[in-house]
Amino acid sequence: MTTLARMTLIAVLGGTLALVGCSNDGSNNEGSGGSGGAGFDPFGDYGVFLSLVPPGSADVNGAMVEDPNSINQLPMYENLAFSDQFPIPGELSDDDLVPLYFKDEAFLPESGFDSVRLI
Amino acid sequence: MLSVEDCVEPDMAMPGDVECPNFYEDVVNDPVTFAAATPASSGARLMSVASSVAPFGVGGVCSPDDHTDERLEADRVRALGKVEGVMLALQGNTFPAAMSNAILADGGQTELGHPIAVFGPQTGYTAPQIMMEFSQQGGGIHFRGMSFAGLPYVIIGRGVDHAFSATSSGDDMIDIRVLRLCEEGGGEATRDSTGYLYNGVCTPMLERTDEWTAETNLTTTGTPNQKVTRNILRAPDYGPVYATATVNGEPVALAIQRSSFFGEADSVKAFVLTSRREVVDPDSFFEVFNNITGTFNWLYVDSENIAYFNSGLLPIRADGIHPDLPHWGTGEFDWQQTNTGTANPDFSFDNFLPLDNHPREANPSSGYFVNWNNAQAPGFWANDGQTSYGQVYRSDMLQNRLQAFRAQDGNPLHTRASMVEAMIDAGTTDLRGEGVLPQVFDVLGDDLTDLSDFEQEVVQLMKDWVTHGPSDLGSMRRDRDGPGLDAENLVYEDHAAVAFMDAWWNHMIDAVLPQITAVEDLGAMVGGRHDAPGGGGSAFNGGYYGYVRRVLDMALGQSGAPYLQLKCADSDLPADCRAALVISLQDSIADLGPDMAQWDPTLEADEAIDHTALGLADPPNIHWQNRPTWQQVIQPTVDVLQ
Repeated sequence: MTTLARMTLIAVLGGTLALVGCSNDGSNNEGSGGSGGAGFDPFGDYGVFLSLVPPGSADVNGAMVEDPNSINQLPMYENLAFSDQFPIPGELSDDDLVPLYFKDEAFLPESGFDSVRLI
Repeated sequence: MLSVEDCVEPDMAMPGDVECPNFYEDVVNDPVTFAAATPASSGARLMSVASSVAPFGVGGVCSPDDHTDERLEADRVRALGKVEGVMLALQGNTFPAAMSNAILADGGQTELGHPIAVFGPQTGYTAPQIMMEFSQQGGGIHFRGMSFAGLPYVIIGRGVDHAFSATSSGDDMIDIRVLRLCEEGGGEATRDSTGYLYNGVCTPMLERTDEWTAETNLTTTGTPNQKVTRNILRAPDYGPVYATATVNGEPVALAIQRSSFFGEADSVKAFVLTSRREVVDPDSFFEVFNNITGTFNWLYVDSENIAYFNSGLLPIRADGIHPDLPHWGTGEFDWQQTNTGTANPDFSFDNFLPLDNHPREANPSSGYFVNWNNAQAPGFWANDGQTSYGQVYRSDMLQNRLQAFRAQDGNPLHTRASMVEAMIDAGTTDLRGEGVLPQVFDVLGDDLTDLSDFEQEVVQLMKDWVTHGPSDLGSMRRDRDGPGLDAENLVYEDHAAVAFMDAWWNHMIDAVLPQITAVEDLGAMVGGRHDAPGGGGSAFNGGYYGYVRRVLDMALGQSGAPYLQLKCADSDLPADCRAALVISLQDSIADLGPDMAQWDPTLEADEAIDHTALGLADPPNIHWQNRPTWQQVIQPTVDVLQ
């Protein structure tokens, strides 16, 4: 099940990669996909979108080595409630949320595709 | 119905042996797929999967020397643990989410002037997470969020300029139908008859028998192969039969009718439409999510709006039918869609409650939505198994914190951070401290001189706990001074009070709700006393919280909607209620002993969250918290989809 999931994810990311070039000119051809046919940049900045999934987004890989993404969201999740590093209650600011307690839920990966791995 | 018996491979069988069937043999008279037919069928399917994938890949390639009994037993135990992990993860995790919460504030409540949402599903803790996060870009689709592995669309997530999330709801989509049994060829009906009277005609039920071999494997305790037989009876007008009985001596069958039978996968239409950007505002959100056949609460946010929709195929029942009770399945009292007279209704949504009658709202006057699997809307009916929708619900903890923030000096407006704080504060709060204890203190009164010094000390301990937290909202089970990710070394800031609350709850129920404990003794209560914090995270989702609160309010003369029969300590006298509470206090102290420092020293470790390992990664334990397991923080600022 997890292998299938990962293959799907990679396929999706592959599709994304192909789109990066398409969106670089800032225009788009989004007229046929639904009622939202007005011009928009799918990768534009239209607000703040954050997410978090504990313990992480991956399992171990085929060589049974723990993937760096398997538990890397767990400290963010835990520390919001229980760490002494947390600001005094009432003093959490919007700027604290990323990267301490949430990650950017952007359409594209933050730093290219260096985490994509063939399996 | 499932039956299991030991069997022998045909070529090894001796006379009298039960021969193992080939993997799957059907004896069917039913042209319709039984995919969703019975609760038993899902278990049966699991069994068949378990037997078909043996042996598990544990230990790699073994030399013959490895096959010692100890080694086999160790492998078996390990494989069993893995299967149990999968079973645990599956329990209660229906599509898409078991429990979940959501808070949304409209633009008038926020510093930026745009709505904020902090929401997500609570589906338990597994490693790897059963919710797969992915981003879909291309072909006109721009969406990111989560789904369960294998599903092709994001089911909860964000689009270009908006986002949505879901919580499980409690609508009443299931009825029990009582079928009058008959013999098709005439003759006297018995409880073994497989015909039922529908509109006066003796109609055959659909019968199906499946047989297969559950092969021995590492998870079975050395038993031989087993022949599994599954018998299914289904009334085509209603659903699967699960029991027979007699009514006034006449034989009847009991069938389960659920509005979404065979329509489960139809929900995918909604996700196709969201991916195609058909959701652009609250009205289109309502229309698209009315395609969801299951009972869920959906929450939507864009740069200008927040909205709520309660989805599901909600039956329109015949006049005079009480939705909580079984009723006749004779054709006379059918839901509207079966009045078409077709044996297999096409689940046209027109036959169910129309969109305009679904609980839904956009931009409420309060400025907020909170949802934590609470009741859908005031006065809206819940399913027969839901007994805890009432005066106290866990969504109160979210609402109280959102409002307390705004009520501070200067009426500060919400930021994403303040909403996150409201969520995590509520996620580490004990609902009993917030929803019940203040009334307990009121009944006990200010004059506690009849109590011992230590009893008075304990009452004060609990009073301090209830207000020890942000905005004087306390009752917290947390340690903000802790070392972070290190479940071994953490003591809640109010450890003794938390331990006492846990000890007090059962004694309190025993003392103030003797009428209910009498029903418990008969095994007739629906729902449990307490949804305790623990390894699964989600807690306080159903319990006696509302019952206790209301009888206390009645004793205080403060209840706006008193029970007709239920009373505190089964008495009209407030003094009896107080005496019962004092007894429960004393019993709890007797349980815990005179030294507060020694109260329940393993409390924090016992309720730590331990991820269920589905794979090979084994994350460290984390502290209990009552929080979505995939969570979004959203504040759209531009409306680009029209």
